[in-house]
Amino acid sequence: MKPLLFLTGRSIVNGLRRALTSPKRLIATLVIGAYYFWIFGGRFLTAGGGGMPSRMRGFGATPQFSFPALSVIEAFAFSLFAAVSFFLVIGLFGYRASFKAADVDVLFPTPISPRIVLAFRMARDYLATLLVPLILIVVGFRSATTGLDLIFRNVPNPATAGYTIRAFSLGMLLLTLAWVTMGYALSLYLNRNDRRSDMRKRIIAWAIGISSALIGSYIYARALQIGSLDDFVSLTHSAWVRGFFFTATPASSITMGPLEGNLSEMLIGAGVLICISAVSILLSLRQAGWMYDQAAVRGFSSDTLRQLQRKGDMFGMVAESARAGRYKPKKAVWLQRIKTRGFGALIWKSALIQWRTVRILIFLFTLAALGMSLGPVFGLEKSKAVDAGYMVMGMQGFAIFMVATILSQNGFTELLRRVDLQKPLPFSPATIIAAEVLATAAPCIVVSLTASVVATLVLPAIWQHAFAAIIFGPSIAILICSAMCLITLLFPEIDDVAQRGFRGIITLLGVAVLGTPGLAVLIVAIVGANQPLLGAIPGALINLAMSAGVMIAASGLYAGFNPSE
Amino acid sequence: MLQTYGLVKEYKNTRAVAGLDLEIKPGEIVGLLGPNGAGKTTALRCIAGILRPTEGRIVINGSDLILEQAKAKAQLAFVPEVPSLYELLTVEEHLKFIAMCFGRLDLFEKLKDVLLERYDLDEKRNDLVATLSKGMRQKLSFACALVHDANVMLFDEPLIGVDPAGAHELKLEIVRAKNEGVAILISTHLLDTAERLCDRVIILARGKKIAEGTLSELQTISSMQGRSLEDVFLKMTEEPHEAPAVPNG
Repeated sequence: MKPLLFLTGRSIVNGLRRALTSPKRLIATLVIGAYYFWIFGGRFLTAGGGGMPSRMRGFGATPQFSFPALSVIEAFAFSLFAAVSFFLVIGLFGYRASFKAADVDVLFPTPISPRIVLAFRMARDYLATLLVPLILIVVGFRSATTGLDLIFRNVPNPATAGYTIRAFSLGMLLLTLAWVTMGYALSLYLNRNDRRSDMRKRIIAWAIGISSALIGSYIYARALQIGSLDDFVSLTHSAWVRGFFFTATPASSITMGPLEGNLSEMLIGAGVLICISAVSILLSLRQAGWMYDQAAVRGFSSDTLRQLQRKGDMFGMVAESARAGRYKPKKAVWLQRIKTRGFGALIWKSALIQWRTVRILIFLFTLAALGMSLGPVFGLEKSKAVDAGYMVMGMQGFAIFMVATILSQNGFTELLRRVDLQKPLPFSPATIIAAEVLATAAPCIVVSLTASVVATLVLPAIWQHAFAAIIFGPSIAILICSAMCLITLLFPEIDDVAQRGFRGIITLLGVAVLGTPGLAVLIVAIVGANQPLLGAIPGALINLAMSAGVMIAASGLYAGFNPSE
Repeated sequence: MLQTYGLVKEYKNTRAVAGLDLEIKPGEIVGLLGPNGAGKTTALRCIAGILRPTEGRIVINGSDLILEQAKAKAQLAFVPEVPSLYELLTVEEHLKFIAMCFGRLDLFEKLKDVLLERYDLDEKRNDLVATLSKGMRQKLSFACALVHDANVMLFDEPLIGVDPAGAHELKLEIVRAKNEGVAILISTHLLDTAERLCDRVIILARGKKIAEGTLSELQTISSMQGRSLEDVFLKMTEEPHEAPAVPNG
């Protein structure tokens, strides 16, 4: 156990230290920390009574109510635990003990017993499962306590209030422990790398699926007849429901112990859950010999996918799915047939990758942009065509911003990843950056053109606005993409969480600063002369000039970028 | 020192290793050769205790790998092809972690400076593994294999990605270990290295052992006297392999 504690402890300390060593990471960490403090901190600091008007503090203003029967409380407690159990059942078949490649290469060949490794993993997973409720408790404990005090002041014996909350927490802890350990025992039994294991998995999945459907139908049928609290209590006491949610009954017994003054019921409930956990732990440990084999054979595709998902790296996710044999490219004959060379080849490559990875996203955003742009056209009266025109421009701008940021985030991550392949090609860094920016902005241009043309066809009176959008929209798309390219190259560590968060914040700031001059010219023309076209042309020129400057700066960074550093 | 008896490893639809018998004596270097997909890495991973054999036994210095796992593994060192190391440990911590796993902190204290210096890791001892180049990671992986006094060493393509000086040092280290009585199994595609370094080679194809012996024995089997291991290997692996040709003794 000592080496595993050493490994975990040092990894956490070194990870934190790493996050604070370089100025870039330090700034990024501080900004992210400040952001989260701003979001959650204020609430935490005022949690003492923030949620309640001052006149309500103390119990004077609390309405009196008759405390419900204990059977009703038990039914609610049971339902709550049953709901938690249901969510824990969903993850039951998932592969547990997800290991890293380093575990396979370094840890598995050592003489540390797989049972110790398994026990350590189970403890770690259990703590991780408790982390979310723990955060909620830390953030909202004081407010919650005030609320609970208000409720329990009406309990027949108010002294039991504190014990009930503790008993409820204990019930939740033991219930979660039972499911985590059962998850491991089943995972090790069902995820072995042979055909027999597949068969078992299918049988158990069908059994759980069928019984879930049956119990669901039963509950639904009974729920339709519920007319009073007594009916609800009766439903929760049904043998079928109790049998299916077999862990919720002992957990609710633990909770009800203090309220009912029945210590033995509480102890029996705790004993049942502890027994389930103990048997599951024993079964897991007996199968520990399979754990390494499962981890090594399964590979790390799902872990990698999860990490890529966290990063929002859609290109990487599709590539990973292809590596795992789960993705077959659809033919894009029209795109594949295009013959081009030089600069065009770079654009063609990006178009193919976009087609394979985010075409559905582009399609959906085009639809959304069309919907948002054309909504005003259909919604407003013809006499208000001018208003509709401006709304078309505004909505289109929003859609372009969304598409450009999503495509840039993915496209420029890919640019960093393929730097070793792309840099030796016979192009200057400026050419490569220009091609990447234009290729990334191209779908936005399609969105803008489509939305404007359709809007003009529907309401010809807004032709000037639509034309202005066609001119200004693509230029702002190119500006957003070039700004994001520069920011990605300034903070190029794809895997660094702090840099990733910082990049997001800086992007908003950067786009706002760079987009202001062009947008200001457009707004002046609109407000001063009601001539959007008059403002769109110089505004677009300013955007393009700004983009050129940003691309030159990005090219300099790209030329000096070394992925090994 | 290391024996496998009828080692089989099956995946759902594939038999990656099909009844591999091998024996490596103390102070012997055996090369495991074969085309891509022959089952070399799977065999090594089974012997390293990473993969669970579907059938067969693996015995390391008298200890069965399944029945006495800790005892068997305590005598084993494994250097994978592209080592995935714990990126958030420093170089020295990584070495210490391995020593802790093997319960040999005494050796770590004694050997750490020598090993770090020998593999050019001295200046990087406090750097995170995440910052190391591929070659440096390979060297660290090698240092980890030497920090716990193993009796059996398994190398999966140990020289890939290492600079010439590093490769030279690693080869010297392998020979040094052999001279100290360590049994060594090396999987490699570098046939000239195998020819110079190994006392014996085993050729695998489609999970089966198709030949085993010293270079001269293999030359005899393939009727290619005087030819290089590369020529012998190419001839053996391009022919259909119905029956294994293993010389006696």
